[in-house]
Amino acid sequence: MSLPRTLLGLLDPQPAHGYDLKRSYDQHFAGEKPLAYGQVYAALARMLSNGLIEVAGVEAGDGPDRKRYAITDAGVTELRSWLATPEPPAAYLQSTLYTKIVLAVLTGSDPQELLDSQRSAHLAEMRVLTRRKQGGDLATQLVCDHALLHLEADLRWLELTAARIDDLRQAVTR
Amino acid sequence: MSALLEGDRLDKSFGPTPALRGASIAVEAGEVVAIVGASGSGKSTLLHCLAGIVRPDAGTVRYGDAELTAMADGERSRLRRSEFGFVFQFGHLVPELTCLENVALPLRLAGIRRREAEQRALEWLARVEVEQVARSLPGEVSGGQAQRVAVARALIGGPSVVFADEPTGALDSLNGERVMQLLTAAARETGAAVLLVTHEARVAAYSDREVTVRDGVARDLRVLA
Amino acid sequence: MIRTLLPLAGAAVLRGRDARARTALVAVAAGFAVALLLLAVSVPGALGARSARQDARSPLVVEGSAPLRLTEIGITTGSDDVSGLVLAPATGRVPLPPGVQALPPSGSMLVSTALKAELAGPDGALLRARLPYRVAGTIAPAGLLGPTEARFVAVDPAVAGAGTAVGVRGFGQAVSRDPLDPVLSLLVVVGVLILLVPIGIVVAVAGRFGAERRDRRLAALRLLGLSSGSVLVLALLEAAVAAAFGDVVGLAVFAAARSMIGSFSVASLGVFPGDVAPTWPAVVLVLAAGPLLLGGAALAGLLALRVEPLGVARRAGRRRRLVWRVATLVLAAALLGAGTVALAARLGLGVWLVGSGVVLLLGAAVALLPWITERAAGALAIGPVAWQLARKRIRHEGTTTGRVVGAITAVVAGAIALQLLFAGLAGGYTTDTGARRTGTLFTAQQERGAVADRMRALLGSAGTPALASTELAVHGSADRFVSLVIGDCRALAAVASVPGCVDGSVYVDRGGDARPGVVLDADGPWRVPVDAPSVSLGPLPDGDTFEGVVLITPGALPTARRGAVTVSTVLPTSAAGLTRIVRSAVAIDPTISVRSLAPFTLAHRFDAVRRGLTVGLVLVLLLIGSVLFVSVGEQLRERRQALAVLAVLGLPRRTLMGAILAESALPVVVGAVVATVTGTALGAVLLAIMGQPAVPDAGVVSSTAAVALLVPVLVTAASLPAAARLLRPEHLRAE
Repeated sequence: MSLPRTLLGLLDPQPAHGYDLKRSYDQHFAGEKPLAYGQVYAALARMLSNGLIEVAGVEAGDGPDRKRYAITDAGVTELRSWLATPEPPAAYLQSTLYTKIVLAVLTGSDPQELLDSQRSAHLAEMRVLTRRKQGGDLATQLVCDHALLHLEADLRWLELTAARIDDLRQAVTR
Repeated sequence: MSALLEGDRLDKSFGPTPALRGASIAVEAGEVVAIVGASGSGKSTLLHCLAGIVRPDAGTVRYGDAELTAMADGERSRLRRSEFGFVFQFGHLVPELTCLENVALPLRLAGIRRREAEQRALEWLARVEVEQVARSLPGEVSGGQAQRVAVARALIGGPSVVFADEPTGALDSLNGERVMQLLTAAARETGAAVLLVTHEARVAAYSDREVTVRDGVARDLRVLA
Repeated sequence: MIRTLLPLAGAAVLRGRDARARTALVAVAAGFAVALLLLAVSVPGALGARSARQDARSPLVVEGSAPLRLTEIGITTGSDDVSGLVLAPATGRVPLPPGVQALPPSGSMLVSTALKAELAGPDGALLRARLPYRVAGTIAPAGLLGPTEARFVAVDPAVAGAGTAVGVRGFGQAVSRDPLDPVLSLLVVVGVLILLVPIGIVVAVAGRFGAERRDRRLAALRLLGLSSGSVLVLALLEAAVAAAFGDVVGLAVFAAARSMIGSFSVASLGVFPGDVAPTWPAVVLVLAAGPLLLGGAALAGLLALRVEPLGVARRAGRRRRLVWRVATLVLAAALLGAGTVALAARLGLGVWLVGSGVVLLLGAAVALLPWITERAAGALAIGPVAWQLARKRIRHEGTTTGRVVGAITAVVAGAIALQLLFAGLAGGYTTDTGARRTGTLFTAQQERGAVADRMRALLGSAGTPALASTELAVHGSADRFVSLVIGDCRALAAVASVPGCVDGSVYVDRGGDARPGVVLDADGPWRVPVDAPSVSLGPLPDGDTFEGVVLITPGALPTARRGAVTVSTVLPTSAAGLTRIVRSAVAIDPTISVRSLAPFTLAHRFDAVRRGLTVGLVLVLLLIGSVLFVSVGEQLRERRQALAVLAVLGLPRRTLMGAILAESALPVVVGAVVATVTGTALGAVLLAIMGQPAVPDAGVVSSTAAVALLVPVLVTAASLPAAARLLRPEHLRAE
């Protein structure tokens, strides 16, 4: 995910301090991992130099926290065009998991064991997400669902692969 | 600590097709266990054997100190009535009874008076957020509502184990998630164990742990350990 | 447990439109059976009540002086019998016949409502001539055998001295009578059974409606921990609840039939509604029969199933076996045979043997039907696509239509048998009268003398020869009598060949003491001339025959003044002035009997039975029709998806409709054949039991079969629009 563009979006409604931006980001997007200040100020600095934002005011005192940032017209244009551009569908061909399974078959170890333990790992992660989802607000739920559905897709693929493991063995050992 | 419900080396064939081949599983009191596996792996059959609905060809099912596999039909029926609850894919609600009467049914079968049974059923319907369908027949309510009614019916009698076979199979994701939340929350609250068969990982994620069934063999890490 | 199960059963039977429709059908079907049985068990009571009233009005005859003298009079006009008493009260306390509060004044009479209507009716003229009394009131039901009985009680002192009048000291004489004719009981039993068997089948079929839903319900309850035993109890309770409604319907139908029965006369054997009162044990037994039958059907259905928490499984090994079907047939034949023998020996047991034989025979026919249908479907292997589809379903499913057609087969077989039976019996009963000509028979009995001569002159003057008959004792013997037939030569010539007859001739038809030269007691000894020619006397116009009789012309008549003489003649019913003659004859002798004669009286007693049978047949067929309609609809709904798939695959609608029609048509055709064969055979057996030649009437057989088998065809045709709607591809999506 593009951090600068997200910050642009957060600045769109009204100007904000760097600290407000971090808090707002954490609230909506961060999940369990809060954003580091350093990342925020690096991104802000880059956008300042690109002319996407400007400093709208400086309060008395010291340090970067005293600056209020506002979005520029160029920033608004950049934000709109980013939102309107579809994300390229990610296709995870040749994932690590697939590599492991093929290697398991080639080396004669049991790919089913691998699949089972992978499934357990996936489910364990999904359980954590489900618990978080049940306690969280709508935003959290949506974020968790996104993750859960991706993990579920992985698992589906695992199941499909498990069902065709014999075909796979023939294909790779030929 | 001995398990609440335990299946030991269960075999079951339907005709020439083996559904279970020495499947073993143990369920502790109060835990939510998901039985997962590909379709046709035998997970439903395993659940049916554990619930005493299907008699395995070989192996034993133990519930507490009692051996289900050695029980006569009447005893198993009594066990289902007093100790087990069921939520299946298509509700298995009695079509001629209103939702309220369906929920009250386990209490009525336990000999509780109608007024009290229906009072408690109404509380349960409220708990699963469908008190508005109390007077409707199952045929007149949506699938999601019917499954909530089924959840209330499964839990009203204070069972030790709730057997849920694809409880969300006929529902859309949102309804399915809600039913799972209500089911697991209520079960945890009343201390009932839940044995959950599902092919959906997101549904299985509501469990405490999973047991994988493949080709009729259950891989219960706890039993293997 | 029952307290918990009963509301469940109630809900299953009454919740929802479908359930209520099913329950209503079952209730109506069972109700008919209950009403029919209640009527059947009322028969003995009704007959008993009749006999009791008959006993109560029989006069207690005394010799010598009596408070009342009376004569009993019978009149037949057309096909109606009128009977009554003409009383001549003496002074003092006069005994009253039942149903009479006080004697009417002299020259008037009390009449029954039926007679009142007849007197006022189109044929009343002759009756009014014969009963020249003023109507002074009505006879209460206590004095009548039934509501349709035409009866009168007249007061006419003139009869006191009439030859047939007797002295009476009261009423109420136990008349010994034969127990109910086994043949008649057989008719009642067989008739009821033939209507009951199909109703029973219909009830059983209707009881299986909604089986799919019931299976789901029972499985759901099993999952909740109901044991298989409790599930059986529940199914029985459901049947019992439905049957209870059947009992209610039955009682209502019975009550309605009872109130209507007063106006429905079988062989003038009308019964008062009050007489149709089954005994309490019988009522309880009948009311219990419905729940038992329905419960049995439910149980039989469930025993073939295993109701498990996950659903319902059919027990294996349900091949259609021919063996027990044939065994039933053989057993039925054996029972009918044994029953025939027993009836011939006049054993009451025979009725029950034949009855069970009839039930088994019908049952075997119904049981053979699906077997034959399946074989027929298997054999007729070629044909259009529609036929092939229908064939497959018949062979693999054995349709409900087939089961309902079984019921129709039983009805039709029974109806054919009964129609044949009554047609045969009617033939037997019509030759009964022995009368040789059509007309009105006058018979007067009185002391010999001037009155008798005047009567003979009056009747003879009507242009038709009148005959008189009397008996004279053989001289010197107290208990040997010789019959005399008296008439002028013209009158004698009508009944015998009397060559050279002149007034004063005497002829003898030899036999017994009737021979030339025998001496008889007239006023003094009178010798039959030794040269009296021998002749042969045919039957008299009223059908009377004599074994040995002296034929005598008035000129040769010995002047006997004591003893009764019977004067009789037959006048054409159309004769001008018939009523005038009747009036004159009554003036001479108020006890004269007037009867319509016909060589063949129509057996109207069976007419009424046949009408009743037809009505019953139509009702039963309507019932079956509605059951079939519901079952076809239910079947189509169950098959909705399968039909939609065929429609989506592009099968022409016409082909599918053809398949649906053919599916009903084959059992119907097979049913027609089976019903015709069974019914004809049964009718022949029953006729043989009654001692009648069995002549199957092709018209009766084919029309009954055709009418009845039209029902399934019409019902199926009526369901085709619904089928057409179901055949749209959009039904592919599941509910």
